[in-house]
Amino acid sequence: MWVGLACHFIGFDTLFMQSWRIREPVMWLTEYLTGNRKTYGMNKVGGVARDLPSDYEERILPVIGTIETETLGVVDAILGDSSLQARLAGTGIITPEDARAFCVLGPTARGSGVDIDARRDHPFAAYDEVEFEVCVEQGCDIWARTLVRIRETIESIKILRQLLDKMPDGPVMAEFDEIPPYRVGISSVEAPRGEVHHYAMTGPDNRPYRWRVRAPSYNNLQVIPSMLRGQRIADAPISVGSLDPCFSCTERMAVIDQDSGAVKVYKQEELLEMFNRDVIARERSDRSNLLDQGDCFVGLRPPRNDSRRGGDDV
Amino acid sequence: MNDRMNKALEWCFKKSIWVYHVNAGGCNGCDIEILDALTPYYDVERFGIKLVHTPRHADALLVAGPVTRQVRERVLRIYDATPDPKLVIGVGSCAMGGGIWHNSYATLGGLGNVLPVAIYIPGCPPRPEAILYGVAQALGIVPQQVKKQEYVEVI
Amino acid sequence: MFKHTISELKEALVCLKAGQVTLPYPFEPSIVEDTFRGRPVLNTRKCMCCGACANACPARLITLTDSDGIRALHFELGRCTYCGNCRDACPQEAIEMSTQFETATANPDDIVIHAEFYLQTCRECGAVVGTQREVDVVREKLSNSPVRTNYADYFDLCITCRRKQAIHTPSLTLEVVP
Repeated sequence: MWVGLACHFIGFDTLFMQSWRIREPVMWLTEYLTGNRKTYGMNKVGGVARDLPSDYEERILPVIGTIETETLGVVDAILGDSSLQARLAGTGIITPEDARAFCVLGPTARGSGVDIDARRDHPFAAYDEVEFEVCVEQGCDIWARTLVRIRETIESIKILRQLLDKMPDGPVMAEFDEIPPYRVGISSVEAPRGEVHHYAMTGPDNRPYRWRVRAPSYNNLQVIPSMLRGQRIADAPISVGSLDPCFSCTERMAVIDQDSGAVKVYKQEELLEMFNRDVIARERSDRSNLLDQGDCFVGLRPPRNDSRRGGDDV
Repeated sequence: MNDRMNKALEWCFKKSIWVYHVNAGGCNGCDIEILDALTPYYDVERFGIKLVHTPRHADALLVAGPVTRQVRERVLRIYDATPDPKLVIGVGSCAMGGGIWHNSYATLGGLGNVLPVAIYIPGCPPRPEAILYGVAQALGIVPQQVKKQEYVEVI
Repeated sequence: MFKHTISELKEALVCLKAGQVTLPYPFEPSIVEDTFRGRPVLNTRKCMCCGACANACPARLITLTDSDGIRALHFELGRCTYCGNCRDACPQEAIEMSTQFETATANPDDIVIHAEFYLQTCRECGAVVGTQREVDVVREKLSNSPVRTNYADYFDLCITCRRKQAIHTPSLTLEVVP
């Protein structure tokens, strides 16, 4: 998927379409195995919510087989493409020193020769039972990151094959009693973008009380200023895109007092109070203004049979 | 007045509709599905639905996410930058009612609190087919399929 | 240069080999897997309005409200993440995830489930015991169980009144049939 997006950034839409075409059967497969394309709803406290369908192996193996051959075919095709090389090789350089200094993670770090992978360094789940290679490239540029990602795709397929062989039987859910409240758990797993940390505090009634994520994009984005220094503007989109940034993962709020350097952490009540005070007040006035101008929406709504809401039809 | 407006609108949206995609604090799931609708298997461009790169070219805004406090100003600016007549389409459960963030202090609890929305496409994330259906429904090409399920016990 | 031409030819070959893959979706209905979790549907015949789904829902969109002898079960499905936890939690298997996904609507009210059930109140103090269906289910289960009880009078009593009643009838016995 990233390869496709990166190609979209540099205007190479053929590969964008082809790589997303290769990806689509995976989405159908996850829909069959878990019931949804993205929100699998599988992980629960104590195990997973439901077992795989009985014919999972017959469904998974052909899909990953075609993905492997098609990915290799596409990679074979683009390796000699000199225009792609010209855009990707030698741009967006992150030196290994920078990579260490900014604590970048995942394929971004591995493309700069930093050998780091949470799956191998502190194994979780079943990663200590499978054999896989951590893909490291020394190129430090976007091309190296591309190669790392492509090799990782192939590596993932290998891991999947091993896991299917070693799939154990047994219950999918462990038995447990009431979860004790106000205990803390921290985990770090290797996500496609790098190492992601989750912090969770349990609360009363078997519910989480506080949950915080440190997504890898947060680290990776810090390197942008040093990466873009001395580059052409035209290379900026693909350079930023080469980190595979997830801006949704990094939208965080911290209030820092510039004079004293003190970090203020707002409590929920304070934030709610602030929110109620200004935003909702502004919201009301803005919304009424917008709705006043919004006459054109009437025609696009399907006719309403519901008489109760007829009154506020703008 | 309304009838004339409707006729004008029908004429405006009769041919291809260009959409601009806004992420209003969503988790990226809906964004990927919107992009997915462009790719070979779903290929919305054959219906003239085109993803454009600036709101000034757009007829419709596809907004995903529960609208966080930080992004609210930008969403309003994008809305103002879009030329009239325009459609706002809320993609995903978050845009519809705030999703699992409905009572969080950091979000405004859904797109309906910020912009006048023409149609909502629920789903977490909605399938590309569902997005296609929703856009077509907003244009009045296909009928609405859901209705409220109500039940009162009788003894 | 030669290498580049070969590479471009290979790229063209990849595209040609794939051919036309576009799905005929809008003209033919889309094939949905059986396991797909679409819009939840409530089977109102089976539901006894116990609230297990409301407890399991991560988005907190299922609410129970009591008023005037009626308990209303409300699914605000506009916020639904389609995780299926309510289906898994339901003891009556009343919730089913349909495969419907074309649920676009202009009015969030259209994608709501609202069901109302009669409440059973305590015959002594008038407090809420549960819905009448809940009491019926318990009565049926107890009548089929091997534990024979003389609890018949206790079904329409709240927990406090039940305790009082039990204290005042010390001869209460449990008889287990082998």
